[in-house]
Amino acid sequence: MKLTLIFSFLILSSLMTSIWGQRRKHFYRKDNYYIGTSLGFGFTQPIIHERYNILEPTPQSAATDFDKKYEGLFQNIGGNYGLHFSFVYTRLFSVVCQPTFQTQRFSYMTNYSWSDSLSGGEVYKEFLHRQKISNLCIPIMGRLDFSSRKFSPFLQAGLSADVVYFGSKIIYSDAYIDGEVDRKSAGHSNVAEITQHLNRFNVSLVAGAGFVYYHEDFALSISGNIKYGMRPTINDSKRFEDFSGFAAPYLDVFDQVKLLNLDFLITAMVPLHKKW
Amino acid sequence: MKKALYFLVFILFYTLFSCEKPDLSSLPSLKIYDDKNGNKSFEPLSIAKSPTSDGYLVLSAFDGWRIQLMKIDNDGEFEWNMELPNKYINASPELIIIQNEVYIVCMDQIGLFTRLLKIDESNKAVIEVSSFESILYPVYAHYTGQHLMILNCPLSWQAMGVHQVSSTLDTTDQQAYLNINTNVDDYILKHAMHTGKRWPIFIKATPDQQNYIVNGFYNYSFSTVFLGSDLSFQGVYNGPGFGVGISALLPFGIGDFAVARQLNQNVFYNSKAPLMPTNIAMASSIEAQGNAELDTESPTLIKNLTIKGEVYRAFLSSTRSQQLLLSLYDQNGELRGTKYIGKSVPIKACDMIQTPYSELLILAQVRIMGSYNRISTIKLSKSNLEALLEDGN
Repeated sequence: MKLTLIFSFLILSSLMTSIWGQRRKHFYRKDNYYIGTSLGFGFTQPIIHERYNILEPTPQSAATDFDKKYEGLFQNIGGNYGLHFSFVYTRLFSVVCQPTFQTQRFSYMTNYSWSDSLSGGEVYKEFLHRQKISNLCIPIMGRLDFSSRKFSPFLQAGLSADVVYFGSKIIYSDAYIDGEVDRKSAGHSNVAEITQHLNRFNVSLVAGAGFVYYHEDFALSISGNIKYGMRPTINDSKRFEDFSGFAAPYLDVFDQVKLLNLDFLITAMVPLHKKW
Repeated sequence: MKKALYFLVFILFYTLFSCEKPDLSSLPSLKIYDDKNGNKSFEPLSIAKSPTSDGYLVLSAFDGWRIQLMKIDNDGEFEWNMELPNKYINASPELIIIQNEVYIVCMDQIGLFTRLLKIDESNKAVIEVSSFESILYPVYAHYTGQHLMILNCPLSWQAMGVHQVSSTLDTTDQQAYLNINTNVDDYILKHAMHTGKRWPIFIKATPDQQNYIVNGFYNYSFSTVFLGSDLSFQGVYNGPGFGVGISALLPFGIGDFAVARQLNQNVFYNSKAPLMPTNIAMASSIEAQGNAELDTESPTLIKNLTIKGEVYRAFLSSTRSQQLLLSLYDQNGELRGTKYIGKSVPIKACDMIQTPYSELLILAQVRIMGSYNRISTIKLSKSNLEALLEDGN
């Protein structure tokens, strides 16, 4: 453990030394403004705040609860693309705005069973619920560069205003409770809109790190951000309104969740050679 | 550029802190109460606020005419349930509250006579209060605020009995019989056993307690008969044979009734019908507005709803497209709002009450997985109801 710490310290020290060394040689950021585009992908993890069920367990139920089982972060992949604006206050500090169209996906599974002698014994139902939420995100972040040279790692943090403009879901089902539903062979519902079930506005905390490469005429960056929606994702007052029509047929109602995102972006920027 | 950034930051903070937080204590809900036995079919009958504790009591029939009692909390969460012993069957579809006690009127399985049971909530049990051995085949019971009234229809008697129970709840004070000039035994048997059509049989009293209104079989049709306080015949609105006439009714006073009636497989509403107790007429003569999407095979419920201090007449019916339709009328009989509830699965309204928190709690039967009839509660919040009036639909 100690050895790992020592090695980490040495690597970090050498990296910082090299960065600060570069800084003394040449300044690359002569322009105050950058504009660009970004493209990337991300993963979503719902953080459960309150569980809700339509089917209410009784002593006569096959199960004691009907809690949803959520899939993990890396099983919920989405995409994002957008614009990049940055304003360089100092050589090491800039303010970044990256309006982005973002797709968040998350999935959960439910299962139910009944004994039914008329249908020949036990009836099993397993459902895979896949949600897709499309947002317009407008993050404002402060970015701290470790160097003003050609190649610089950076840290950034800020807030993002997120506007949901569309949500949809589809449910896959099979007749075996085995913890998985094969989407290729399983039956499925129609794709239903869930936008009205969602809180349309959210504010997220965003923090991340990355590397930027500056050239005289352009800059490229690779960054990773963690984003956490501070407001609940589901509209409590419309939870049971059943806009999707899935409430009774699939015994489906949303839990209250907040969404955590891990996003990766590649950004290409060009400087604006103008003093505003 | 800087100003634009400051503006965006302002928008961020404004969005974060200005959003209205809903009152979680009064949110709408939908609950379906599970039972692993898929072959068990539940038919909810009545829901009532527990007079002695938080929550609600739900009376249901299962496996035909057997009886189940369930307790749920204010949020619709399950608390407990019990199946009444086999000897108690064929519950009257109304939980009766008399002096803060909840009663069930049902039938003895062997003797076919009427039993009055009191619910003992603390012990999750029922207590036999009295038996009425002369009242065979009870079909409905209602407490008017002064008297417990029981309707019965003994097989092969070709008559409907109307019985007024004494205040001690152990004898009958007076009774009357309405002749049925045709044999309706098959209808009654299927009604009682929940194996066929459930007829909208009921008895109610006018607010002044001067008239009883009996909806049941009479002469050659399904009719609405007005009786005096001494159970003497006053008048009748005859149905179209057994194609049902009046299917739901709520009296407000002489000449002021909220009525749902059926004719030719259609449901008609009149929220302010000028019925006269001494009239002898056809139910089809009551002026009413038809609604072709409503299902005649499912019950129509009419109750008072108080929203923002105003009393509205709420009609709840199932539609042919497997939804519930809630319609609110004001005291002048004007339609003020409608709301569709549910989607895609068969749903049948069974009862509804207004909660002490100004919500509407609907008891319904929902068929899940296309096969299993289950008890369901649907709660519309106070704000749902207010929005319904504001939006109109």
